[in-house]
Amino acid sequence: MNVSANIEDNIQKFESLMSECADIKKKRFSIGKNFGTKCYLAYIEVTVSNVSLADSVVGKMITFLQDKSENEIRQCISNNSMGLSDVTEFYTVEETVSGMLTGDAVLFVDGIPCGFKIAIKGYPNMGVTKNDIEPNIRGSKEGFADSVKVNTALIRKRVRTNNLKVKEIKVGVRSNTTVSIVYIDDIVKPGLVEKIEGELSKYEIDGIFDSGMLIQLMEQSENSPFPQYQATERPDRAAMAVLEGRAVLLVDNSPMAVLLPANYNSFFVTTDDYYNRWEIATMERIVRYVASYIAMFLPGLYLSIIQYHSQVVPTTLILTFASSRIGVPFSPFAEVFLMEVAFELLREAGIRIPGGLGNTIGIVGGLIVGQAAVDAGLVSPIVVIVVALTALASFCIPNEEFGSAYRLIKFAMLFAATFFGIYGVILGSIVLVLHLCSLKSLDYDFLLVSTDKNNENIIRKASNKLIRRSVYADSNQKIRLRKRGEENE
Amino acid sequence: MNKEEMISEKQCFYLITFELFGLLTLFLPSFLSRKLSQDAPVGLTIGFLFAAIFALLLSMFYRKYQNEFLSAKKKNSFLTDVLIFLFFIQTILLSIFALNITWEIVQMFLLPTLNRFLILIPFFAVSVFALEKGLVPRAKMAEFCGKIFIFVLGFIFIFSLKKIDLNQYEAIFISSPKRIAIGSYDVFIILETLIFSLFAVKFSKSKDKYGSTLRKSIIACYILTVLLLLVLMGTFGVDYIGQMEYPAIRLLRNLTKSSSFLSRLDVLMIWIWLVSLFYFFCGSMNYAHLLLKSVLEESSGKYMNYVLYVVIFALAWIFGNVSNSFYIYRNYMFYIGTPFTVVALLLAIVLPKKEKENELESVGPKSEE
Repeated sequence: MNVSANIEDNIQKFESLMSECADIKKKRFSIGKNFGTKCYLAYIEVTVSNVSLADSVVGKMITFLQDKSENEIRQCISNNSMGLSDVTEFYTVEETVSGMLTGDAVLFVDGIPCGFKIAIKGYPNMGVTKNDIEPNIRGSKEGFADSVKVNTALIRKRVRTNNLKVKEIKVGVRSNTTVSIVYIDDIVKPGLVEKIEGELSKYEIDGIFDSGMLIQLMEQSENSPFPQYQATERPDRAAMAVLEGRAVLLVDNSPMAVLLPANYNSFFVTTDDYYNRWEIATMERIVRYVASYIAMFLPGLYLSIIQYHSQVVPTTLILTFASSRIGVPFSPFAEVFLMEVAFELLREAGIRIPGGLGNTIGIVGGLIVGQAAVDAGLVSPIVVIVVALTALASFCIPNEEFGSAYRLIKFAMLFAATFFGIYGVILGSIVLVLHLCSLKSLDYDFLLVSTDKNNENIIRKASNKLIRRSVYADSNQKIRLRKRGEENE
Repeated sequence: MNKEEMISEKQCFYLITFELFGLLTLFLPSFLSRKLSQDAPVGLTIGFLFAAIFALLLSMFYRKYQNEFLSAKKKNSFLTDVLIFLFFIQTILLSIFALNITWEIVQMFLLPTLNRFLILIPFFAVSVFALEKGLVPRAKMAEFCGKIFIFVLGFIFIFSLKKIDLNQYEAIFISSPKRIAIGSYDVFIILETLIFSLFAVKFSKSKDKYGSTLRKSIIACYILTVLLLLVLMGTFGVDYIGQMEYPAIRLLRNLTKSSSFLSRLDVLMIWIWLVSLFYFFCGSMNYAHLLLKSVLEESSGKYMNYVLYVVIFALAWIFGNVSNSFYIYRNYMFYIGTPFTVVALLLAIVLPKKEKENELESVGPKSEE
């Protein structure tokens, strides 16, 4: 339905589309010297300050046009965008309605065959928050907000180049969620953005409410516990990613950006690694990798040693293990399994219990339940140590989603170990590595084995040695650091 | 084939090396020590020289035929058909041998109370999982594990140095030349599994570097095997190695002190050989399937896969143990497999390629049009 010059026509079409929408405010008013120009303004109730319309952008615009003649109003609208900084013209009523539903106001003016979308306060949102999920010691504490526009601005604030491009796409047939792809057009590999757009348009879905929903649809291997794209709530992390030639996906209403493509090593990297000295950063990375192996294998290995391979550890140690198990009524597997389940319960309860009580439950529950179980003779103290160490190790993995995969694998290893001991753990590891080797993230290998071309290795090179960009960058833009005056490679 | 679904030269190298390493280091030290005593390193070296010549023949064969002989659509010559048949028998026998050796070392060093069926089933299942994933993830895994592998082996060699008794090394060339030649030939029989590389190179990005990749793999395997053999000879003495089963794994048991955190290293380090045997077994199965596919209709290939898995498992069961499997493999290769393969390879290289005529036949009518 095209917007006509007759305002009554437009109002009728608009109201037919927006009937029975009590949250939409529709106002007819007249402006100009003799109130001769009819206007129609519509917006979602909360998007304009309800304290005083006059204080809002729309109010100021009406005041500005109030004493103008009809001719002046038309000229002002067509040449000067009504004196406002952000106005978009639409020529169909459907587009105008969509424009309003993004959280802006729309205006029809009699005699002008187009609708105007005027940027106003927008939907209510949390604003820029402190990052909680990926805390750091050094560097900005800013976290992404739940508005895609704010999030885009947070990246642009850090990468102030005209080459930083933002492509907007609507995803969700009914939710019409704005999804932005942010990238640097001369660094990103040709075809990557098109590939992402292709992946985004693969499905038709009712609604997308978080980036997590979107990336699961985009993943090439849906039956993997490992996330194949990296979620972050840190704008500095996202800015680093675009400088490496990766693309950032921002989803409206989601405070988590998605970095694509991703690889196994990138999940072990924190922004602090680049803010701190390389020696310390390397040591911390090694700790994280070791932690990931402990998180996966420790319960399985303990079980293997206790059940099948007691000869592996010195006699005194195995005697300690055995004496600690005296009076325990369960098999070693049942003992470890029960404690692991108890830990998962505590973890889940800690997240779900509202407010600060969650943390308290975690600590108190862990201490009391663990101690009580040992005192009651249900489990041995060694098992409590094993489960606690495993839990501690799983929290060392910087990415929560990635860390969860290890928790799942831990159970698989536990089952393999109980049936086949270390043989089972070795076979389980083969399956795991094969699976990782077959994973792809946007057609790139998830497990980069030829890591010499990647900055995100176990060893963080010295800052002046971090010369090359990642494997994802365009081949003509591989150099990220050079001495002034030096030629490009 | 999509370039993303191909393997790099480095991955190809690791794959070939992994496939060879397990069998060479697990089996050869005791076998050679039994046969050649102090001359085991000599036999090993000559066997590797034979392998280097064989690798040269393979690269010449590959340069001439590429992977045409694996394509069901191409009409193969009699010689390539003979080669396919010989390779197929060899891959089947090697699969059986690999399964039995796996079963034996797992039962001997890890799970003495578990029965053979329960040991083989998970190994078989993991191998089938790997085969279903294809060769590319396996090659990537080889590169990934290869680096850890080198580190661990380096660690083993360094720690074993202080246990070496130099008096254990004695004069060489004490065996008769005939005995050395037979011993070397036996080494070559194991190394003839190099033919696996012909199939792996099909997936390689740099096919033109096939010859050099093969050379590097042979050199790497030679260095590792000869080092291990020398360390074993220095640690246990050649006579004792001859009586031992899997001395390489037993060496690990000898390395750890009772006061350290781990009193038995062999249980943990056995993964190196299990992974290598996994590669060897997957390779044999995969290449047997490729060969079968090259003579069968494309559509029946997938079902054949499953039939092949079952047949190999059943044969491994029937063959019984490592000694039987090796006896059958060795005798087949000693008298039939190796001589016929070498002759057929030589003839295939020397004789002109017959296939050109077929091409001309198909091109003829088109050019007339």
